[in-house]
Amino acid sequence: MAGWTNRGKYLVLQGVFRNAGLPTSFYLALFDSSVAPGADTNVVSDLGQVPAGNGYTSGGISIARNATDFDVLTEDDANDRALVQIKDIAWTASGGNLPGSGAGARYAALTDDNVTVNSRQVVAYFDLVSNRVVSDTQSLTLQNVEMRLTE
Amino acid sequence: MNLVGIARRVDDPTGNDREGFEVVTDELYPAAIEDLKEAVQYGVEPKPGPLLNYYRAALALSDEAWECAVMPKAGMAEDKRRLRATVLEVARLWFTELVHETVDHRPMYLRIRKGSVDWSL
Repeated sequence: MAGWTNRGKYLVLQGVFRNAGLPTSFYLALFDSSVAPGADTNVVSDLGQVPAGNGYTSGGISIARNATDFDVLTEDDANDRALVQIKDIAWTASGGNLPGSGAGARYAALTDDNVTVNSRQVVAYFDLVSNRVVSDTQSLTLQNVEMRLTE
Repeated sequence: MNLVGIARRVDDPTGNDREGFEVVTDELYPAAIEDLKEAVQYGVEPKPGPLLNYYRAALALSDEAWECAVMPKAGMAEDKRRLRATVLEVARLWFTELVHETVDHRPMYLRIRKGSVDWSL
């Protein structure tokens, strides 16, 4: 399960048509299974972010608003949609398991860059299918995360 | 099979110097499905990376899913349409990643044009 939040759709429309409200960069953050993200999710505090530490920084990893970080754009006439992929994003566990406690990362979400992490607006969410935990020195890598825009 | 050879070079329409490619569905889906099936059939496992993920997704597909993928969608029962859509999406992602590899993962634009056959999900 993956999708846009309604807040994310609003931000895109605001940015494209009003040239306002777009962040300098986005972030990809990890969340546990305590709350499943959905279309009505607004901000990071609506979800259960995995704890900081052991290689995970609160708020996640920064993703620049450029072609390097959003590296594949597809215009799909067959399905009347456009798609964008994010470059591979990796967290490497250091000093112990990542996440450092809890059952693991079940979801990832793309957020804006509000200086207050809990206030960051959630643009899109991705289901990692199961709780993910990696041991010290191992990496949790999200590859070709894709967002789809349809009517 | 030279799957990526079916992608034609085009200019990035946004003028942002992405590596541009274009492919027609009538070529993309039959070729990508066949390429993926062959990889699975002959156990040609890619090295770790996105292609390995798509290969593993293809391994998990049932014979029925592969059969549905190349059948017309019109009149298909919903459960078979879902199977068909799963195969088409894995095939598209497989193809896209293979093309992206040819440009060393530089920023890329891909246009998938409609052909005469309905390959929509």
